[in-house]
Amino acid sequence: MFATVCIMLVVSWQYLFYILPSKRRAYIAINMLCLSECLLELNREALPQGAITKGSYIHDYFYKFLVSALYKKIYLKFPSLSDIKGNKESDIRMNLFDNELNDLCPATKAAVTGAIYAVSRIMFLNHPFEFIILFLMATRARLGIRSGMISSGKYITVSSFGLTGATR
Amino acid sequence: MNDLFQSFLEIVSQYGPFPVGIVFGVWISRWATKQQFEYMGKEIDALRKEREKIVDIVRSQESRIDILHNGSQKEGEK
Repeated sequence: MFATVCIMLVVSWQYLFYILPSKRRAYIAINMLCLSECLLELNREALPQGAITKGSYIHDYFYKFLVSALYKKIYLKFPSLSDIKGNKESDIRMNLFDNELNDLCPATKAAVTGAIYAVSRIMFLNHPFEFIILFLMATRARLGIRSGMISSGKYITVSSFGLTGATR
Repeated sequence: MNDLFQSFLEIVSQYGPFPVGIVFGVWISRWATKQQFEYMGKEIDALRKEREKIVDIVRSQESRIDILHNGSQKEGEK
C-alpha cells in the first residue's frame, strides 16, 4: 500500500513538473505556427488582390494582432470577462469581424478561422480555468466544441488590442 | 567497507526487495527525460517552420515594398 502510494506520487511528480511544462511549450509553439501560416496567407493572397483594405477590421486590428504575437513575441493577454457580454463595443466589433469574414474567399477564410482557433488553444494552454469560464460565457448556442472555441477566440482577438509587454 | 555495504543493504531492504526501487527510479527518470526531449524536438521543429514562414512572408511583401520604394524614388526625382 505504502509502496503503491509512493510510486503514484513519483509518477505524478515527474508528469506534472517535468513532462507537462515541456508538452505545453511544444503545443504553444505548434499553435504559433498556425498564426504564421495565416499571416503568410493574408500577405500572399488577400493584400495584393485587395480583399483586405485599409479601414477594415482585419487589416487594422487582426493583422496587427498577428504581427505583435509573431514578430514582437508578445504575450497574449486574457480579456476581462466584462468585455464578453453586455458590452456594445465588443458586439459591434464582433459583427464587423463576422461580416468581413463572410466576404473573404474560402482559402483566406479558412486560414483566419484556423488562426483564431489556434489563439483560443494557446489561451487554453496558458490559462485553462479562466478559458473554460470564457468558453461557457461565449457560446450562445450549443453547436459543438470547435465552434465554441472559435467564438471564444474571436472574443479574445476582439478585446486584446492592448497586448501586455511580457514575452510568451 | 564490507560492513558499510551491508548496512546500506539493510537500510535499502526496508523499502522493499532490493533492486526494484533503484530500477524503478532509473526507469521513471529515463521515461520522463525521453518524453521531455521528444517534446523539445517538436518545439524546435515548430519554431524552425515558423522562421521559414516568416521569411516567406517577407518575400511575399517584397513586390509591394518595391512598388513603394520606386514610387518614392520617382517623387524624389521630380
